[in-house]
Amino acid sequence: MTTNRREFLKIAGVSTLSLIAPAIVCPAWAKDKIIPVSNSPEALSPSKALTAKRWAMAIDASKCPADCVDCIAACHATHNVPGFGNPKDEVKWIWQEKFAAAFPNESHAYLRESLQKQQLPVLCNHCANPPCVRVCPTKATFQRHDGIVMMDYHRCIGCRLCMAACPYGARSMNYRDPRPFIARINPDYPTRTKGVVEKCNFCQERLAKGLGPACVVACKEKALVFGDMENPQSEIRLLLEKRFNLLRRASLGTKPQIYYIL
Amino acid sequence: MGCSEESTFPGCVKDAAGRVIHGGPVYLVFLSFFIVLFLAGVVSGVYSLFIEGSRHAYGTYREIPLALLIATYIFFVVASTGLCLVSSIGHVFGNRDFLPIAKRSVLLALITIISGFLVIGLEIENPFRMMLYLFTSANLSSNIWWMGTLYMLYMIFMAVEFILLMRESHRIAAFFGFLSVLAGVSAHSNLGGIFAMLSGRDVWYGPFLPVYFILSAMMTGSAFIILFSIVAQKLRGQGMNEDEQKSLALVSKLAMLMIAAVAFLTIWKMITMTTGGETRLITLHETISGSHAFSFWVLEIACGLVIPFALLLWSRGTKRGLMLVASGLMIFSIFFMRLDLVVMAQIVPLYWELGVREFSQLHTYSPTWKEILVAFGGIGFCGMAFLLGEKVFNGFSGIRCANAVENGKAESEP
Repeated sequence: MTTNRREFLKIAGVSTLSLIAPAIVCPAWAKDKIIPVSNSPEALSPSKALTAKRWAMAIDASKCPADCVDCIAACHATHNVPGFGNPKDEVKWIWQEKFAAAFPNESHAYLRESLQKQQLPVLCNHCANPPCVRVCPTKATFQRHDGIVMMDYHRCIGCRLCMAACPYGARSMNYRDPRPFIARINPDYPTRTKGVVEKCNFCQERLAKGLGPACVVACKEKALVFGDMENPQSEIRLLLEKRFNLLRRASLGTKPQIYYIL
Repeated sequence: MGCSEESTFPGCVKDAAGRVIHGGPVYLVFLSFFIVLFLAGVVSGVYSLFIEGSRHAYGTYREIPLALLIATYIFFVVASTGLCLVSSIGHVFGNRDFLPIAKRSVLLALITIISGFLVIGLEIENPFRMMLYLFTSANLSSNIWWMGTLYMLYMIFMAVEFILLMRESHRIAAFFGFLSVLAGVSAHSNLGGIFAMLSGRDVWYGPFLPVYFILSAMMTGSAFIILFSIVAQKLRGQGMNEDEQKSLALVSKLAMLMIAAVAFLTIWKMITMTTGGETRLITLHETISGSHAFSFWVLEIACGLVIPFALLLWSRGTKRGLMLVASGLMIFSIFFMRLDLVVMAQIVPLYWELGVREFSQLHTYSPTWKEILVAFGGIGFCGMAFLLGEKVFNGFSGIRCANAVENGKAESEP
C-alpha cells in the first residue's frame, strides 16, 4: 500500500507540474511568439509610415462648430463602425459629450454655462497606463511601443471586463453581427464579428501608410492635433505648452493621452 | 460508491442506478425538475450565444456589461470556496467535530464550481477562444486569468480529494484538501481582485472586496452545508447520528459568526460610502432609498442577515426545521447580494453630470427570461448533481472518519 501511495504521489506530482507548466512557460512563449505583427519595429517603421515614441492628441473644442460631426463621420466610415440604431448597442469610436459629462469632477453648478454645455469629441484615451490592457486575460487588448492601445479581435473572448475597466466608456461590444448594420463597407479595413469588443485605434492602419488619423484629417477647423508627445518640437507639444489643457480623470493614474484645450 | 469492496465497477454502477430509480416519487419528481431546469438553461444559453446573439437574448448592454450571469457565476464559486474552506476545518486542519460533513461538502464544492463554470461558459461570448487563449496568450497581470487558472486547478484538486475521501485515504486526501484550500483562496481573492482593482469604478475599487468575498464564502458554505445536510437526511429517511448532529450544530455557530462578520463589513461599507465622492454617494442613495431599496433592505439585510441569524440563534443548532429555513433564506438572499454587488457599481453613468443627482439618468438593468433560464440552468445542475450524488454515494452512509481519522492524519487504508 505504501508503494501504491508513493506511486500515486509521483503521478499526482507530475500531473500537477504538467498543469502548472503551461502557466510558467506560456508567458515567455507568448511574449516572443505572439507579439502582434503591428508591434514589431519593421511594421512600425516602414518607409512611409508615420512614427512616434508616444502618439497623443490635443482637442481644442472651442474650434468645434455646433452640430459638426465631420470627425465622427470620417472615423466611422473608415473603420466600418456599425449603426445599430439603439443607444444600448451603440458602437462608438469617437462621439460627443457635454463638458459637464466628460469632466464631472471639474464641473460644478456655477461654471460658465457655455462651457458646461460645450460639446467635446471624446474617444479612447490611449492611456499610458491602460486598465483595459491589464485586465484582458488573453492579451486581446495590447499596447504598442508607440503608446497606441489596440485590439486583436481574434483573441477577444467577449468577457467585457475591459468595458467595465475603462473609466472613459470608450469600448463597445458587438452584441450582434455588425456587418448588416454598416452603411457602406470600406474594404481597406476589416469588419468585426459578433461577440468582440472594439474601440478607437488612433488609425494605426493609416499611420502605417503615412496618413494622419481620419478624424484629424476630416476636421476643417483644425480642432484636432495629432503628434508625438516625446518630441518637444512637435506641433502638439508646442500647442500644449501655450494653452491651458485638461486630462480626463487624471487622478486615476491612467495617464490619458487625449489633451483637452480649454 | 456505497457498495461492498468485492463488487465490480459495473455492479456498483448498477446498484447506484437502482438506488436512483427506486428513490421514491418525491425524489424522482425533484430530480426530473432539476434535470429539466438544467437542460432548459443549457438550451437557452447555447441558443442565445451561438444562434440569436446575446444582445437580443441577454439584458446586458453597453453601459452595464456585467450582470445576472456574472453574479450567478460569483454565487456558485463563492459557495464552492466556502464549502471547501468549511469542510477543510475537519479533514485538513484536524478538527474532528467537522469531519462528518466533509465528504458531502467536498462533493457539493465540486458540484457548485462546475455549476459556476457552466454559467460562465454560457455567458462569455467566445468560450472556445477562452479555452485556447487562456493558455496560449496568457496575461499574467489579469485577475481573470489568475482566477480562471487557479479555479481549474482547484477543481482538479477537489476531484482528487473527493475520490481519496471516498476511498478512505484520509491522509493523502488531506494533502489535496490543503492544495484545494490554497488554490481556492487564491482564486477567490483574485475574483474579488477583478473588481477591487478597477480604479475607474469607485464602488468596487479598494481592498474591501477580496476580504468580503472570503468571509461571505464561509457564510455561504455554512448555509449550503446546513441546507443540504438536512435535505440529505430527509432523503435517507433516517435520523442523523450524534456526530453529524454535533457537526451541524458547529457549522450553525460558524454561520452565525460569518453572518455577524458580513453584517459588520456591510455596515462599514455603507458608512464609508457617505464620504467617498459623488458616485459612491449616488449609489448609496439609490441602494438605501432608491429603486434598489427593497432588494437591499428586504432581500439582503432581512432575509440574508437578520432573520437567519435570529433563526439560527433560536435553533441552538438542534431545531433542524429552523436551521433549514435559515440556511434556505441565506442562500436565496446571498444570490441577490451578488447581483446587487455586480450591478450597483455600474448604475452611475461614466458620463454623469449634475442632473444625475435627481436619479433620472441612472442606468437600469433588467434580466431577460433567457438570461434567467441560464441562471436556473446552473441551479438545475447543482440540484440534479446533489440528488444523484446522494443516491450514487448512498448518502455517504459509510462514513468511518470519526473512528478512522486522528486529527485528519490517520490512515484508514487497508
